Amino acid sequence: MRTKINGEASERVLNRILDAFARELIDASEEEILEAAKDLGMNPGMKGSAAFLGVIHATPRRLADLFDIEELKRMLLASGQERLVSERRAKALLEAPVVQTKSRSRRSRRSSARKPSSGK
Amino acid sequence: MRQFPRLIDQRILNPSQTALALELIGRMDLLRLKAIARVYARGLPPEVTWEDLFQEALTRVIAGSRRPREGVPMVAFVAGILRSLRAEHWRRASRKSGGNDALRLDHAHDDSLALSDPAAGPERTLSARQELLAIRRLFADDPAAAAIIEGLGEGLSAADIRRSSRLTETEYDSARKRIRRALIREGLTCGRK
Repeated sequence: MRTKINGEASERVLNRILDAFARELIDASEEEILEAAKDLGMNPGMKGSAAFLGVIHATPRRLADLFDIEELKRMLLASGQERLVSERRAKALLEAPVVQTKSRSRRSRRSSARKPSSGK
Repeated sequence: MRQFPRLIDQRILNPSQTALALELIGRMDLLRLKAIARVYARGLPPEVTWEDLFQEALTRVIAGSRRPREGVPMVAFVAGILRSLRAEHWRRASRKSGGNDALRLDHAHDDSLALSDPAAGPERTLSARQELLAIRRLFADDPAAAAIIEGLGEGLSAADIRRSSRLTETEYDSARKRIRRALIREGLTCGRK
């Protein structure tokens, strides 16, 4: 049969098969549906069952359905580079030697301010 | 500004939820139709998903643009809409591409004519071939099921398929059962196609 299928014929063959599949599914018993669901670890009787994804509940979308992947990559890369730069800066600040300045404490400054002049 | 009434749970029902709430259809039948929608979405371009077909079919039922004939079960009726939505997609695609077949199909009210449009474009033909391969792969490990599918593709009757592939009635029935199970299993998953 395979050699016979060419051009438009392949579409006709596909449509016949799809119609036959649809008829099989119309005729399928509830038990068959429940058994197949069980095979997949689904329980259609349960509220929020995965079997109803796309039917009653929304199907989880892929990242590509929500974002332009290329743009997202660029954004992530840019934010990653930004983070890297700020992390490097923070690291540099932490590792830099602490310079001891000879500044007087506020108390000593205040006490010296109160000291009366020697009266010269 | 016009105020819209608030829904009791702040949620808008989708067509299948509406059909369920109106008791037009049962939960198990929704699963059956999910599998059928996945069947009819085969070979359609990626931008047309089974969910599109499914929700559109139920929208037409709710809106009343398609009315069931007496005695036709709801699942069979919605399955018919799914089938014609597929045909409708190809008709539109054909019109867009400016094919001569568009005019002929406009006068064809029978979906089977539209489905077996002899002037299918190369993209459509390629996609059909790919789907046939995918279906064959699905049943590659099951020679009896594969033989039945080949026979169905040729439009043979059950008796002819049994005769040509030398299957007993029991073998034929159990292979069909395996086909059904595989289709339901595939239909219940939430893939895009």
